[in-house]
Amino acid sequence: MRKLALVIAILLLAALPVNAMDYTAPSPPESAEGLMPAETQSFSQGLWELISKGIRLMEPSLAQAGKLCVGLLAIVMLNSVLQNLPGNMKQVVAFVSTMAVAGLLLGQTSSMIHLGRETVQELSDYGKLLLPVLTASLAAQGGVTSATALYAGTAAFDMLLGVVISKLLIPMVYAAIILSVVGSATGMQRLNKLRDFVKWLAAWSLKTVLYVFTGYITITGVVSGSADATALKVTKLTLSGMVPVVGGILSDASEAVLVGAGVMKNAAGIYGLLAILAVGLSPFVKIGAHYLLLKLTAALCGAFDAKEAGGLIQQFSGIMGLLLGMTAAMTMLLMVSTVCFMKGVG
Amino acid sequence: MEEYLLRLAAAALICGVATTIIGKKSTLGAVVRLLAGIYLTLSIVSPWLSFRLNNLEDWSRQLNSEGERISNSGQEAAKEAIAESIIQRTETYILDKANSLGAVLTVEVILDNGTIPAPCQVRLSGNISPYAKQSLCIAMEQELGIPSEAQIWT
Repeated sequence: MRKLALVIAILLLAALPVNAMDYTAPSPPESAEGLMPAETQSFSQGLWELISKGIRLMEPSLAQAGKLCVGLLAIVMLNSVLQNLPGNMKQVVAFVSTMAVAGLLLGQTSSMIHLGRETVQELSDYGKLLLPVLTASLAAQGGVTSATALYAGTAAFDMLLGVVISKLLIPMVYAAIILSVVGSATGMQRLNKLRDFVKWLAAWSLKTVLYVFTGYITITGVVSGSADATALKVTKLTLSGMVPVVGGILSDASEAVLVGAGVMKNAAGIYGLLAILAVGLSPFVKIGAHYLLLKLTAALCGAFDAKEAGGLIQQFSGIMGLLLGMTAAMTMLLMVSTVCFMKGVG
Repeated sequence: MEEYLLRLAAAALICGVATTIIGKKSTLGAVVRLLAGIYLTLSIVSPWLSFRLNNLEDWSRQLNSEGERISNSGQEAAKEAIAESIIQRTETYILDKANSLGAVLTVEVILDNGTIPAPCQVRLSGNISPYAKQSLCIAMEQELGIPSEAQIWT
C-alpha cells in the first residue's frame, strides 16, 4: 500500500508541468542526500567528493563483509580438519559444512538482493523526476525533436530494465542461489550446468538491454540532433533576412533565451549525474565489498582442500557480481541519457 | 516471487525423489531423468516464458505523446521568454529614440504570432513635438518594421 502511494505520488510529480524557464534537477532521495557533494556546479569536483565519500563508506562495508568471510573460512578450516574422520563421515562432514556455508551466505545475500532491488527502484524513480526537467530544457534550447525522442527512448528503456530486473533477473538470482546450494550439497553436475545457464541468461539479458539502448540513443542522437540543428539554422537565416534593427533585437533575444536554457540544462544535468551516482554509490560499495571479499575467500578455500564449500562461495560471489551488474546497468542507462540530453542540439 | 521459489523447490524435490526411486540404470530411469530435467528447466525459466510486455504499442505511443507534451511545454516557455525579451528590448529602443528627440513617452509593443514573434503594433502616449513624432514614426517603420498604420498614438 505504501509502495503504491509512493508510485502514485511520483507519477503525479512527473506529470506536473515544468515551470516556465526554471529548470532545476530534483533532489535525490533521502537515502542519498547525505552523500550528495557540496559542490554540484562542477562535475569533476563533485565526482571527487563522491569518490572520497565512497572510499570512506568502503571501510564499514569491508568490515561487514569481512566478518562473513571469517565465518566462512572458519567453517572451511573445520571441514578440512574433520575430513580425516573414518568411513562415510567424510561425506557427511562435506555436506554439513556446505550447508553451514550456505546458511551463512544466504542471510547476507538476501539482504544484498533486497538492497540491489531497492536501489534499482530508487534510480528508476529519480530518473522519472529528472527526465522531464532535461526534456523541457533541451526543447527550450531548440532541440524539440531530440528531446521528445530521447525522453521516449530513455523512459521506455528505464521501464523495460526495471521490469526485466524485478520480474526476471531477481527470480533468476534466487534460482541460481538454490541451484548453487543444492548442486554443491548433492554434487549433481546437471544442476551446476543449469545454474551456469541461469547466470548466463541473466547477464545476457542485462547486456542486451544496454546494447539496444546504446544503439537507440546513438541513432536517435544523430538523426534528431541534425533535424534540430537544421531547424535552428533556418530560423537564424530567417532572422538575418529581416530589417537590421528588429532582426538584431529578435536574434539577441532568442540567443539570450537559448543560452540561458542551455546553462540551466547543463546545471540540471550535472546535478542529476551527481545525484544518480550518489543514489548508486552506497549499495555499489556494499555489494562490491562483498563481491571482492567472497572472491578472495573462495581463492583462500583452495588452500584448505574444501572443493564444495569453495565452489559455493565462488558461486555466491558470481551472484554478487550479477547484483552489481544490475545496479550498474540502471545507473549507466540514466547517466548515458543525461549526458545525451546535455550534449543537446548538434 | 515466493510462488516461484516454492514452485522451483517443489520441482527440484519431485525430480530428486523420482530419479532416486526409479534409479539410473534402467531404460525407465533414463526416461525419468530426461523428463525430470525438462521439468526442472521449464520451472527455472518459467518467468521468461510467462513474461509479456502487454500493449507495447500503446505503451510507446503514450511515452511519445508524454515526451511531446513536455517538449512543447519547454518550447512554449522559451517562446514566452523570447517574446518578453523582444518586447522589453523593442520598448527600450523606442524610448531611447524618443529621449534623443526630446520626448518622454510610454510605450507598449504588441507582437505577432510568428515562430519568432516580431513587433507588429505599438501604442504610444506622452508629450512629443510634431517633428519628433514624424522622425520617430519613420524610425519605427524603417528600423523596426512597424507600419505607420500600426503605430497608435493616444
